[in-house]
Amino acid sequence: MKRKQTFGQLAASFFQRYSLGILTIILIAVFAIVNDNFLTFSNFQNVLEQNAALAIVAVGITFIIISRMLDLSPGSVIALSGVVLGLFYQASNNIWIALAACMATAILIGIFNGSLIAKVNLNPVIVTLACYIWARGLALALTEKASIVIQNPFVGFMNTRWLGLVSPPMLLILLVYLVGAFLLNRTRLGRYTFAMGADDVATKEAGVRTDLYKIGIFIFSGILVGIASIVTLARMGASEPNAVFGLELDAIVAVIIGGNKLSGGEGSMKYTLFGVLFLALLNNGLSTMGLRDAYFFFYKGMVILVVLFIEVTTRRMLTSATSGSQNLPEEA
Amino acid sequence: MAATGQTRVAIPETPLSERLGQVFGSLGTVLVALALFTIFSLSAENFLSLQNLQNILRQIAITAILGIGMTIVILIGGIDLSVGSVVLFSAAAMNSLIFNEVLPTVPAIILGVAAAGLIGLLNGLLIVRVGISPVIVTLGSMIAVRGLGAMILWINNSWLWANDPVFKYIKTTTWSYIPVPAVLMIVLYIVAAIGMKHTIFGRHIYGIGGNERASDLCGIASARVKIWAYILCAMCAGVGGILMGARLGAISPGVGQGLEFEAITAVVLGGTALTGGVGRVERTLLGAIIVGMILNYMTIMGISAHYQRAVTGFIILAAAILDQLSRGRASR
Repeated sequence: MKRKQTFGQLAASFFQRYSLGILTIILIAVFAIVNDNFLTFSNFQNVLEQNAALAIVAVGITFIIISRMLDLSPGSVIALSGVVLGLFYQASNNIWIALAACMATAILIGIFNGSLIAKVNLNPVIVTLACYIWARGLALALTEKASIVIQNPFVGFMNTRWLGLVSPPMLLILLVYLVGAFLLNRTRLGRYTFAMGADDVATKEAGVRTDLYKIGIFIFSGILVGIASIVTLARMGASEPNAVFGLELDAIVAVIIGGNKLSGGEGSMKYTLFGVLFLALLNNGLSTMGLRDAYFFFYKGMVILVVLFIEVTTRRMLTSATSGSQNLPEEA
Repeated sequence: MAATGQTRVAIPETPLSERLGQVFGSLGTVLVALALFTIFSLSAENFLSLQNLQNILRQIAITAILGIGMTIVILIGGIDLSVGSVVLFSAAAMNSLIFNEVLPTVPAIILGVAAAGLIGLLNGLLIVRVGISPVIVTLGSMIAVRGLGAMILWINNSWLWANDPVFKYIKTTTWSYIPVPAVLMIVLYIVAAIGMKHTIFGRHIYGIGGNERASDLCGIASARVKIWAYILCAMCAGVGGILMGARLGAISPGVGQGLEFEAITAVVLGGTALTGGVGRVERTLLGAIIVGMILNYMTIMGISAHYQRAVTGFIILAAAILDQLSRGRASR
């Protein structure tokens, strides 16, 4: 049965679909007015390079959130695997061994967390919260809080801009999003990710080895965290135990702002991409304004809350306008 | 699982083994605490001294008081990640009022706690009325409120003394060997424990956590109760702000960072389920005591703060695994 849409419904559906786009344009306009250098090509390159780790981690977080789990650990794991990279490089002086050790650390922690969640049935928030604490603690303890400088052509390579346009981190972002979209839309892992988020028990009863797929999601996420760690390290030229503090929160916020539902079962890589872009522009715009930390965090937090408020209210307007009946408030 | 068509309601019989399991489950945390206390007393000679025990009490008072509010919020199936920032905010607000001689000490302290409650109200409204998930809302306010607190400090030349006689009194005085912060903690726990068990509000908290829809249908104004839970949680953090100022003697922008995770650790160690509805406030105190003893013991043994952090993470994991195992045995 198809009814004619009223103007209100049309407006609501328009806003719901494009609210983040509109807000992004407003954000860009505000920063462009305040800062002359904001709307330049080189600044856009900066935005991508500064937020490469965030963008890459967010892909893994998307899988985790769609399957109705949560991961608070990426920031700490990036720091820890970066420290492992530094220590192995110091010991062996071979960058390839160090890179492999870094990836192995991130993947092993992914398997560890994933197994505790899928096999022991622990709450993902607790498992990854614990990891958030112990991984950062180990990173600081192993280096006694000191950073390890990496002097290797690899660091230079990661910071080159070919033809003044593209750098390896940008290509990595592109690659990761293509792989992420492929896995999510074209493979069994992706389909079961949605299924587990919509109804975990039903998926299990349909004969899917949900435990293995959950661990699989954490392994994929672990690979991305390893890559993000390498990107972060190359950008700073050193392994830094205090690196990327709070990155996991940024990644979760980006995924949610983009329009993926925290309650799972719905989402898309496209949403994540737009959410990351918004947050990256916000980070960059605020930091180039030369604000003090206090104002930076205040504005950032407020913008995030306002955006969520707008998104959730338009979504709710739409559901109440289309169904006409009273709905339970939907979770963002 | 009962068949839906059944008309007769079977009264479940609890077998002896299961009841024993429940008793053991509730005593388990006590036994762990006692065992740790004995081991630590025997292996570290300074552990059992009066001064050290007073130190432990001073160290756990803030975490334990935050734990009261956190337990209530977790019981309704929520979470509050902003309490660490609220500690900074309320400490900065009250000390700014005192330092600039806007208000006398006691009204300033009351206003600081009330301001914290206002942040709780904002959290609660966004979560309950707007319908954004608690993790996201309190992540946002964690960032924004830390900014707000840092702004207050920045106006006062980026940090503040907390050297009012009242704060000095809290820091140095003991009442029959018990430090004042610990007295406050014990009083608050007695009030909370009685309140949760014997007041309508307390029963409603458990009802909502157990089954929100059923509570709604019973006519409980669950929205209002949930908002009050967030207000109480933030006010506990406000009280934490008083003690934090007293303990440090000065407020700087990093104050209170990570306290939210310490509070959650205490709640989880106390056996409160993150899914809501199951748990006891007074057990959170036990959780805080366990963490406090372990950290204190490691300090006595000369283990670096970073390793202590790593160990804390693993303690959370161990607690969660033990909890899961005992729950699994009880349900079988």
